[in-house]
Amino acid sequence: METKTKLNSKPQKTIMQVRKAVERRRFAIQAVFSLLTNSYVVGFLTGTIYKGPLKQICVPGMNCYSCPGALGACPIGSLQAIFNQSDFSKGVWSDSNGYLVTKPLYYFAFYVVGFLMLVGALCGRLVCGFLCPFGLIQDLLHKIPLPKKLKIRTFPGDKQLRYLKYFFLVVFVIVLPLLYESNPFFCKYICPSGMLLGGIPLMTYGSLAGNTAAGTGTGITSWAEAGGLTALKLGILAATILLSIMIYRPFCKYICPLGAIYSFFNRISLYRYSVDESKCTHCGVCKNVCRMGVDMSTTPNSPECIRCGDCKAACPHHAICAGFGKKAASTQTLAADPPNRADRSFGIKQK
Amino acid sequence: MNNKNVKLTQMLDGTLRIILPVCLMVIATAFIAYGIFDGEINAVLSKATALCRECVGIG
Repeated sequence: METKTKLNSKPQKTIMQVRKAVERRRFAIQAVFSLLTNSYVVGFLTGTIYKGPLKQICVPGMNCYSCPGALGACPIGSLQAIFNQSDFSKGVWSDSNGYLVTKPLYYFAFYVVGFLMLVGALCGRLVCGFLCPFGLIQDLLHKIPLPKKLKIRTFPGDKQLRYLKYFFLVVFVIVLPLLYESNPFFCKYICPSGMLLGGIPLMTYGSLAGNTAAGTGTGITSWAEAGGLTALKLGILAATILLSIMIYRPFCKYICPLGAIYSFFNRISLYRYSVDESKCTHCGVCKNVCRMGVDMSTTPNSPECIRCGDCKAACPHHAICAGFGKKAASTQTLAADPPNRADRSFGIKQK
Repeated sequence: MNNKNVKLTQMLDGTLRIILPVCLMVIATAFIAYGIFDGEINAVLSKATALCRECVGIG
């Protein structure tokens, strides 16, 4: 009781300072990781893309492999590339070199699915909060000041729209690429990351260099090639940018199939959040500061939580704990708490 | 007695929370190894090293 009183009397300014420090640290990690995975400087200087062996390794976040600086492969693009070669409806397939073969090249995307499972089981959507370059871009866009009325935290239908990302995952990343060869539907018709990180820099460089036609596969292109698809993707990109200024991470909330995959792992991953019921007063501070709209006190490992740490920094009672394995698990389950605490930790809402 | 049972359940829950993701990670590692053996890694490489015209919006 004494401890609680002492914690409650902690000055608000200190909590704000802690939150700012946590945010700065997260920004630094995001920036360093994004720079490291996009550090092929030659690509930016010559308007081409990296073609070395590192490209066979997937990166954990949304990072288009056609970005001039990208050193790794986008897991969502790779998943579609494998599914594109598993079209079971035909009798003849063409391999990556264009040769015809008589069996699907792959029956399942073991490599990419294994990679996503590994990352997901290790840390869930921590990737979204700390390691995704497109997440960083949205974070920066949301810092652009707007009148308070235009900064939208939630709106009617917000909760329902969150399911849209699962639709994009199933239809655009899995089903359509399985049915049609050589068509990465999500990358082609939806993903604004490819346009922003790959299309705009490459086409701009190509135009400045005087390219008029593409060298297929060489990474050389220009705005002379822009057409209907370019307009569609530029429109989606513009909408994403505008919405990111108004709403915190709209792409992650409503569209991102990678976030949808990692969200399945949030409740079971090794890295997890927990709430110490003996300290939590259900004051609602964590819910108020969460820009993803998660109520940490009831669902600490919600599929929507990107584990940015805002709630942990803002909690005036230090009731929120994050960590790997036993540390987090023990705080959650072994604290002096009601017996149903264990159920709640898996995100199951209490009646 | 009841309290003891509750504590035991909670301890088991805590252990499961570690065992489950570790099992998943082991399966994931096996998937990755099989994918590499099956040549998927080459498909990823060939896709990632060519300019993805669809991704950059010139499809």
